[in-house]
Amino acid sequence: MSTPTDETGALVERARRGDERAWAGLVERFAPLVLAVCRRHQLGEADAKDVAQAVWLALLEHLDTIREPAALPGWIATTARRECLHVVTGKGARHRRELVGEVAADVADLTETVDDLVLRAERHAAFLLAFEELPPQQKELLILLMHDPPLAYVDIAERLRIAVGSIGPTRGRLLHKIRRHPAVAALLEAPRPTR
Amino acid sequence: MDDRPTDEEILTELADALKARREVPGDIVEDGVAIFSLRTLDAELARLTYDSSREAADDLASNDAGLLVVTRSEVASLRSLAYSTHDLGIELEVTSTGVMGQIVPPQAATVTVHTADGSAHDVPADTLGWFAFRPAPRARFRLTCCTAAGRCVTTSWITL
Repeated sequence: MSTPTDETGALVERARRGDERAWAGLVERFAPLVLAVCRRHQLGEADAKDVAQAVWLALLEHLDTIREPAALPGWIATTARRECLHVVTGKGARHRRELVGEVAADVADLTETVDDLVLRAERHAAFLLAFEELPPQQKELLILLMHDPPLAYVDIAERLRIAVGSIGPTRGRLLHKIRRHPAVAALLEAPRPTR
Repeated sequence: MDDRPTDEEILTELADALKARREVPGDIVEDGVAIFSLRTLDAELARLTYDSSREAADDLASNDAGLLVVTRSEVASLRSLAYSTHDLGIELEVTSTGVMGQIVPPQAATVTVHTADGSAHDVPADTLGWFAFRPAPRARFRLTCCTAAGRCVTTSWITL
């Protein structure tokens, strides 16, 4: 699969035909986006789960009518946002007066930020696509290189039983591979969003 | 000319992407995957048309005077839910002891209670469309109802 949109289209197609693994792929693909929208609405984990479940049900119903996979991330975010607002505004009367102001302010913010969340989630999806195509040992090396706090090369070499001197060059080669992946390359050519 | 991201930036974005994926609670994905069986069930998804708990919240939210304060626990002690498709409905009444249901229009059916862990058990609905099971499930569940005539509908997941 060359881009996240191609991947989404293929997953939708397979899920329509009854492939449960493809459906799982869609859920995994969009779960971070749904969670990001819930966080933007400051929902706790229990509420986020309800929102997510409502989104998956809507997606399941919507599955046969999806024509443009590229529009799906936006649709997911909008659906999640609507469910979040339902949770936020349905919390009861006692907090209502304080909430009204906050919610109104939030909603104003959200028209911009939901788009930002979608863009970021799509960037992430592109990087994950490139990452997942690497062989397991190379993924493992990258994960250790991304460790926070950073690990010394000697420690990484010991863990993976590889030569210390090979880490730097391999790192460069792997990042080049990721950069050259069609999904990531397409992103890097596009103007970068301001964060 | 060269505004290409550095190796550091590539690595940071990849780390962000992996972190966002890792932070998704496992059951958000598991519950989402589990509902796929709804699709292969060959049952029409009935829409939630009434939920007393939402109704209560909406009533309160629209009460600008803020005079009436009902706490959530009072509302939750008894809850009514209604699901419907164009030709078949399921009405549920939740009490402290269990769940009572009514198929509309009244007719005999088999009601299956599916729980989120994948287990399922059947409850018969009598010729008046009445069924009951106890206790009320504590975890997320959904009901599938197949009438004697072979028509099947299913509810979305319900959390009491």
